[in-house]
Amino acid sequence: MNRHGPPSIVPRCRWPWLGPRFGSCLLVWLALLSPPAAAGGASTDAGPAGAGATATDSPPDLVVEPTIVGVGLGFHGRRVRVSAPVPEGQEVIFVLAGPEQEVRLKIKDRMLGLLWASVGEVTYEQAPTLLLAHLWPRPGSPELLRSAGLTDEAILERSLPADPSPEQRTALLEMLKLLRQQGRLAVEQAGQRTADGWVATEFPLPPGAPLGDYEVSASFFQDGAQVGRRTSSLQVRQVGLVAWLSRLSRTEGLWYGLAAVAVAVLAGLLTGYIFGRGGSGAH
Amino acid sequence: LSFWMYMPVAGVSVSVPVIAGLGMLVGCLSGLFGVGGGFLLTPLLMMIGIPPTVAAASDANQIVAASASGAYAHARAGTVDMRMGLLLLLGGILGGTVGVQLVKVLRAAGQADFVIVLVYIVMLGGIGIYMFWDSVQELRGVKAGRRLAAASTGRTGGHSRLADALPFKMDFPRSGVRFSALLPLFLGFLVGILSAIMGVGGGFIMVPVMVYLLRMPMHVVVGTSLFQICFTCMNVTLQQSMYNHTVDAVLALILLVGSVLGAQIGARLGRRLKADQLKILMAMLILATMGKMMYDVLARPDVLVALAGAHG
Repeated sequence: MNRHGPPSIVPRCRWPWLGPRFGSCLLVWLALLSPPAAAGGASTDAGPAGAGATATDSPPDLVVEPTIVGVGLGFHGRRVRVSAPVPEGQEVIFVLAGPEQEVRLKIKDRMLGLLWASVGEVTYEQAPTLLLAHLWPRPGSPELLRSAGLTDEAILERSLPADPSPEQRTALLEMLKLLRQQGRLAVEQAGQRTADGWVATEFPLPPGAPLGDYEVSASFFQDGAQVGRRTSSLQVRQVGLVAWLSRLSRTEGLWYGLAAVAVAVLAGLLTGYIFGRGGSGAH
Repeated sequence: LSFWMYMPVAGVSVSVPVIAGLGMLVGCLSGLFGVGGGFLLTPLLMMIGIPPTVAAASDANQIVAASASGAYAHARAGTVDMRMGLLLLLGGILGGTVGVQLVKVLRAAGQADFVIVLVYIVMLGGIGIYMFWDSVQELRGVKAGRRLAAASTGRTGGHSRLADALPFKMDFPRSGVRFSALLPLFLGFLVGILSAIMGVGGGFIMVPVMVYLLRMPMHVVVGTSLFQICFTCMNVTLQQSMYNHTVDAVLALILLVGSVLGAQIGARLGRRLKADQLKILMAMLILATMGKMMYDVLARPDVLVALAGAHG
């Protein structure tokens, strides 16, 4: 039995009063100098999974690939493939919906009738962070989009409080514009039928995709009426060095900051030393 | 190797060459003018999608590296006025503390953003126009004539008479000036308040203050400014890490690699330029940044909301 517990990965420090946390922060900072893959920060994704997939051999009826998107140092968005069996004569709407979160918005207006600046703030308890919808085989009619909850009005109804002020309504509409600009809100015709009678599409998950649990759904329509719906899930989470640094910055602010300052000073002095008398600004 | 890298605290993916290039540009300015470059880099980082609070905090972190490199070189060359630097730093830390509280009050009143933009435009505009005009006068030889005339009649400026009247006089042999210790303390205090409001190291305000109000020689101004900026930005990095958790280690590291190299390029460029040419270049840069900010606040934005908070 090991009475001393697991061996420490932090090397012995000549200045013990600095503590092990400073050492580990510094090590991570220095590890950043190595390429992303070596730092263990590359994206890692889990393989496909399907809604309705059980321990039996019954085929899944909504497949999402991957089901976990790892956000590491190398993450720059990625494509998420969604497929489902669609009988002849039916239409399908695939939806990738990000986690609904509390969102605070700064409202911009003219100050002194001249300058555009933030003049106030509104908060929404459950606002959309990402909503991508692909319609197959054709663009949906306004009625279809409304019944699928994909119009701006439908999103507003879901996100606004019971008795919204005109300011809350206008600001949320502006936020939808912002989401469209960032590639986080899009409703478009996409998808293709595969040889086995399934329909597949690929959602472009943007680089700034919010973290959390996503819902993936496929709604089936025939003659304008919904005839079925399947759901599955997708998780977007930080992994490796990104997750570690992000957590450290929130939980060990002092040590993280000290390590950041130490690395910056060392880098600066080292450069000054290497370049010798050619140091900056010597004029 | 991917050219894109995900920033853990900023929560966005950025192009590594672009970030390193921005760091290099700002490092070059640091080497040339003795400024941290925060006034330029923070808006640039915001333009490429870094949340404002993360941009300001990570920028302060990388400025520590660039200014440490520059201050070290200047200290070796004997062009850092430590006495002056420490007084300015002390005033700056006191002013920064008051400024942070002022920002809190303004934020509670919902006026912080408006005041910050206004202070930026007024400060950049005022300093830029004055520096530009002054440099043009110098280049045309007008100021030299005026200085000669003032020396022959014994006339001095208003602020010089005020400085002479203050107690606690002190010699600053490195800068070759003598005045009250209260003057750099007070000026450091004012710059500290402005730095806290504007979220920058304050070099672009401190350099003109040292040149025009403290009458320090330009070569000592640059070294002393870098010395003061280095400590100011250390303080900002620590405060931001502890209270706002907005320092992005990866972003700062890429920026600082670019900036320490840029600082060396700036230093070499600086040796080939005269002081007046440097001043006029600096003035043009300040005015260009002010012009961009002016346009941003005068033109109607595409979207009339912005996400509040660091993560968006």
